[in-house]
Amino acid sequence: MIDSVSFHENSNIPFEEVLKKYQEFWKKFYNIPKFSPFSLPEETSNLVKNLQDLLLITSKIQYFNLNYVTQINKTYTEALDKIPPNKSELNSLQSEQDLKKYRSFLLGTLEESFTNLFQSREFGVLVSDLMGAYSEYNKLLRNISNTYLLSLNLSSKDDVDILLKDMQELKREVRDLRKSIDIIMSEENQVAK
Amino acid sequence: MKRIKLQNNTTTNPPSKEKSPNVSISIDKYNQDLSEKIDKLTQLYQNPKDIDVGSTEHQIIKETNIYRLLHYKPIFKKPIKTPILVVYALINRSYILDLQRDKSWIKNLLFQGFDVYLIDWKPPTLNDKYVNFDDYVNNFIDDCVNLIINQASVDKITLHGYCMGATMSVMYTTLHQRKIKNLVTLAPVIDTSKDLTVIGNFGRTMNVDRIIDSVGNMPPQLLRTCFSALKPFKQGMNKYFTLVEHIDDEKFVQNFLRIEKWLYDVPPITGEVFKQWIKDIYQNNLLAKNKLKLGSKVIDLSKIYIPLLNIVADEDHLVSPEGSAALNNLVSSSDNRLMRFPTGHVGLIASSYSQLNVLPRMGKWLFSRSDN
Repeated sequence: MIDSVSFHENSNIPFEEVLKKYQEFWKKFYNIPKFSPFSLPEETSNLVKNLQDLLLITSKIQYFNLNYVTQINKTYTEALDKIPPNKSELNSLQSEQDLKKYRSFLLGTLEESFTNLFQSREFGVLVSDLMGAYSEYNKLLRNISNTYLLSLNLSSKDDVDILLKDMQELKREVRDLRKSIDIIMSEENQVAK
Repeated sequence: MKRIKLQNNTTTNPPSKEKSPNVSISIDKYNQDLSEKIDKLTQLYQNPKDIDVGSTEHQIIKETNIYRLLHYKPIFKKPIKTPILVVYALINRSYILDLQRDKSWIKNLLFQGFDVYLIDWKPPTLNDKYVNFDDYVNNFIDDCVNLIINQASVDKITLHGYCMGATMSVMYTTLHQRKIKNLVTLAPVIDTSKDLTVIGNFGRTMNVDRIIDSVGNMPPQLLRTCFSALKPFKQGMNKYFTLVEHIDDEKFVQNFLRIEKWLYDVPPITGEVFKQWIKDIYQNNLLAKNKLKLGSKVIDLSKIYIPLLNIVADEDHLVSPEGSAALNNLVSSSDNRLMRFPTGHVGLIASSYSQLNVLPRMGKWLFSRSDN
């Protein structure tokens, strides 16, 4: 139903190839010995790794965003193609009623095309990929900030997460205990009666 | 560029070439009026007045960091004895049920003589990211039910949920049925294999673990992006044309702004709940398969035997009506009723149509099954 418009149509180099070239380029830095008089300090290696990941993720975001915008534009253009655009057609709009009818037709056509797009599996996957790429980007930024937080002797987000998870588990246990106590007490009350 | 000619089978017809009889207003005049109205619209949005919502008199019975339990002041001295607990969804805010005086779901129930309570979910913070459906159903809803049972001195109450709140009410009923007299669901999400909506499509393809692991709670911005794909032109855009046309009608504008406020009032959803919602319910359809687990307990819909009224909107583009209607075939209740109405997801609860058609029929059904 929906043509899968990809980066391939907009560039001579397939996206996967671009990613591969990035990776090969950054791999050279890893070939520098880690344990020798000429080695880079560990912090530099980490920095290089983070930079590499950042470039990869931003490329992905760019790629999926481009695909997203292409799909939207394509659908929009295709929808407009179904609408009479020539001057004589537009001149036939003589009254407020005609304008409203035209508007309703325009919106109806756009609605139909966009709903088809949004209901297609391809578009769903694309939105998921785009959200996933942004998520990866956020996660990487968190990892980078965690590195600095540790060197400042501050708790990282991951440490806080472990605490939050434990707290929620404890709350559930307390809830279950309270409910068990309530049941026992009501049973005792009934026996006493 | 290739031109596609208009075809007769398009959903709406192209404008007529014949002159309309209503030619008294010229297009120039129309454009001038429109321009003036757009100026007024701009001013309206630049200087928004206070928008009053949720004005029905109530008391806050309990408040935690997750919810507020509201008790509405009964209209009659002796309301119907079986109280109703309304469980609202975790999407948008509960004041849609009490949006304005003449379209208030809550007020209508009060006028029918019911004693009404409402769980108003508060926006969760990042500290609540591990709060899951088990907590919502077996802790928060259960606490509210116990509180109402004590306060109203009854053994059982009517549980009444809307949308995601209806799904949670169904979950609750399977596990705590002895406290529930009647179950009334409005547009519940049940069998997602029958869901053909845009939301269902996004849900099925979403890598929810990856998103939630990076953001903690499902952020409002992402939720709004999903909702904006629902009828983007017929509703998303056309409503503003309608607003411009009625910009001088104070009542219309106020009602429009109330709905607008609600639409953009999207709280986050806790990460764990959102993961379960997408993975267990939309992707694996575990609720309809009787395999959904809350904590250590399995939700088996066939265990529901109390009276059930399931209300579905046939033009619902958010929750598939077929997916909602499936509930009636999955429970064991002998007193089991499905009501279908030709309206949409919001129209079902906050419209003149629902006041005239949905609420009277629901009230009649409920009245005959409540202790008076």
